[in-house]
Amino acid sequence: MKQSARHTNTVCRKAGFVKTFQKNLPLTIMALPALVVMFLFRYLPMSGLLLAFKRFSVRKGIFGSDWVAWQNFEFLFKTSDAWVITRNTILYNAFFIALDLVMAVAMAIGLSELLRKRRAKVYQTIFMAPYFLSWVVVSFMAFSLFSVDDGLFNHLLNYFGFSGVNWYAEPGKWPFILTFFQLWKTVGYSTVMYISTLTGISNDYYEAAIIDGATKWQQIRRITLPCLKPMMIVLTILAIGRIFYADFGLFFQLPRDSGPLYPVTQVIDTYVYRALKETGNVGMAAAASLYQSVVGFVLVVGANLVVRRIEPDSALF
Amino acid sequence: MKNTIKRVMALGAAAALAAGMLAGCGGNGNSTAGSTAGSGSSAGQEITTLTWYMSINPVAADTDKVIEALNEYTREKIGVEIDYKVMANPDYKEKMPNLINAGEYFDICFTSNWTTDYLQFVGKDAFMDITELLPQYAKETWDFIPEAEWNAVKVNGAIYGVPSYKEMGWQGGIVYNSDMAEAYGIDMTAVKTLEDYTQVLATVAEKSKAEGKDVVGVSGLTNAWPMAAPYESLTGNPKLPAAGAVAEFNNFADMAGQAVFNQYASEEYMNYCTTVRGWNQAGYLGGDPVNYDSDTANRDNDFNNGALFSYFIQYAPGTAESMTASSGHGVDFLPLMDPLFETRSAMGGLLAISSASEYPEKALEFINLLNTDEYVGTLIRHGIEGQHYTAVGDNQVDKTMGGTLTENGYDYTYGWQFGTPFNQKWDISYPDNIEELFQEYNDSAIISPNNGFTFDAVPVETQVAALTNVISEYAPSLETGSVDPAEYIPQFLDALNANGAEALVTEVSNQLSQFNAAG
Repeated sequence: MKQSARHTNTVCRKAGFVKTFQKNLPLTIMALPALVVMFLFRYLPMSGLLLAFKRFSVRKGIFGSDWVAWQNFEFLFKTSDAWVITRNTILYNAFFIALDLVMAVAMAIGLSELLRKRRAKVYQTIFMAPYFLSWVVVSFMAFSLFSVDDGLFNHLLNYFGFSGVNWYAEPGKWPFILTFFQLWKTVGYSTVMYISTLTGISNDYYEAAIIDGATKWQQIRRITLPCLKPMMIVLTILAIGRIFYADFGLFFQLPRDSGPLYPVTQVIDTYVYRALKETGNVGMAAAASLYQSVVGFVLVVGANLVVRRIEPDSALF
Repeated sequence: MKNTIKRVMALGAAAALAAGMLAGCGGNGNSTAGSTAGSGSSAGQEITTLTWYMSINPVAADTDKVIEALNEYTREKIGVEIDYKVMANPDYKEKMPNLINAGEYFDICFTSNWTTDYLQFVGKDAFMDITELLPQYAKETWDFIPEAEWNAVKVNGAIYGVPSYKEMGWQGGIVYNSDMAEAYGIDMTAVKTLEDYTQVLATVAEKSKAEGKDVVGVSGLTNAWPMAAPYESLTGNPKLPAAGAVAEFNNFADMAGQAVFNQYASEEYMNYCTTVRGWNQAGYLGGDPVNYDSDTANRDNDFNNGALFSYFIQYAPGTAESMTASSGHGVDFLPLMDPLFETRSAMGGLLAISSASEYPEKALEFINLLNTDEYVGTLIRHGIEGQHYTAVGDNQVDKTMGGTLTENGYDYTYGWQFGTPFNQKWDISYPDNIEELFQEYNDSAIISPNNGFTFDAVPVETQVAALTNVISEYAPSLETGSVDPAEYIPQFLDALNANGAEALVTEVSNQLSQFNAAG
């Protein structure tokens, strides 16, 4: 008796699965190409991560090469710069995330408050334009400002009777220069994300608030910001996941690989590049990238956990 | 079972165009079939198709025509056709290592210490050991290239590539605008050392300012230090702190008795940095020598226009003459040292055969033609006679065809990347005794005491990675006089020591004494 009940139960569940599958067949088929692509390009190449623990030989291939345990990871920690690299990578990125969030939200609100929508569109396009420039191009634009002999700034300084500054040899100035260019390049893009959320907020809220006599400031604080919050949290969690990846172009191209600036421009990506461009060790490169991925993964999960504690509705997963 | 799994995975990867990641595990047999399918039916004998990956700058427009002519010749001569895959130097540097890592099939490829690193790929088993095959299938080349070159390219006693035999070793010095030197009454013959050059720079600065011009005295300092105090680079990389003294140069007295030492800790380094610091502060180097050095197009432009007096180069015979032709003013060369031949000198360019190649014998026969056959050498460097050049006398060509040809579809100023310039004709912008000049240069070359020693960096890879970073942080600014050596050299040395400079020196000396004990 008992057995037959269990039996029917299983059959039921099976039928349920088949039914659900049949019901959702069109959706499944729609998702299939993406799933296949994802499997081929995201999951299959992961077998390459084995290289992080191997001494790579072309003839033996990825699976046949000899194991070397953790040896490939040593160069990341056995340098006297390990602390500088980690500090620079995390601090810069933390600052970028915070400033980008504040500025993008402020600009998005500002632009959406503009009454003349056409003008708002023009500004928005202008702010977004730098996002599409490559860092190499930006580095030459910066060079035309900072060049010792021909730079605009040194010409200005000379014109007003000050002596020129050797910009590419003075580390003290670069945290500000780097931050400025990073924000100049990315804030416009994040702004657009927030504007798109803003346009989705129903006007009813504002009308009701105005009838109740709310000031502009009160409207922003009580309606706009709470509505933006989910978007802010999502973008920030994603950004935190990449906190251990530095923007190579920003830290390598913009300072023009200038030695005296290393103490403030050396980040994990530039360190790995400089360390391996001579030896080209595939295993060490894989090790660095695996290390970054693992830290990023831990941070995303961690950040999401914190968010779920405080605000379960806004958590990503 | 294991094989099936591998094959299935390789198949899946190929479908995903991710073949690059996995083909190395055993799918090689398939990919070779396509590229080596002989087209031997028409000719009586079997024709072998060799895949040749080549790096040359820039890729000439008429490459296909020239290769067609080449194939016609080699088909007859050795029964070989070339599937020529040529890339410009910057592309090759990025793509070729990936192609090799991915297990792409090839027979011959260009390798060196500046692109698709020879030692690195020997270490990864990418190239074939041709020590035995060479005397058999490329006998003329084997005899023609001096023994010192063959020794230099040996790794653990085995040869994995045919070196380009050109000028032997490297000679550092300064090329200068001889018209300007004459106008300012400068006697260059009096200059023997770097310190002597200070006076020259002072004169140039003084006289040019009097004329109301702003002339930069000298550039190229980021490469100048090893020319000021030549040493043998035992790791193959002159920047890494593991140098050996060469008796003929009479330097590094403070390191006497040490077979391997850190050249940055020497008195010579301090002297060099102090000298150029003086130049920098006196304003002979322009405002920002590091950035000035990085832009060679700008440098050449300034040099041609008389805005730059001189710069440091590694010299090859005939360079001054050809620079005179291209710059529009007299150019002369001031050597700072005799040519030095060391292991790394032979690695400026090699042709290697893939360890997976199915026709290593044919590939060697073809490389032999590149090195010894005059028709092949001239064809691959200057193109087809009557189409890309006219012959002048027996040994020269005119790439302008008497001034009638302005857009030449195929001409390479430097032919050594294809093999050796000794079986190639030279353009008339070079002196007609150019081969003698090369011979003279090669005869005067000092062979370094540890020639043939190749350093295996694997045991100290971690240290090398960290040291490379330290060096690129400190060396460029010290060596261009941008910072005060008295303050920064001690910092530099501390950083080197903190990142394993001593471990590197110890490892190099261990390997070196093993090498010397064995040889």
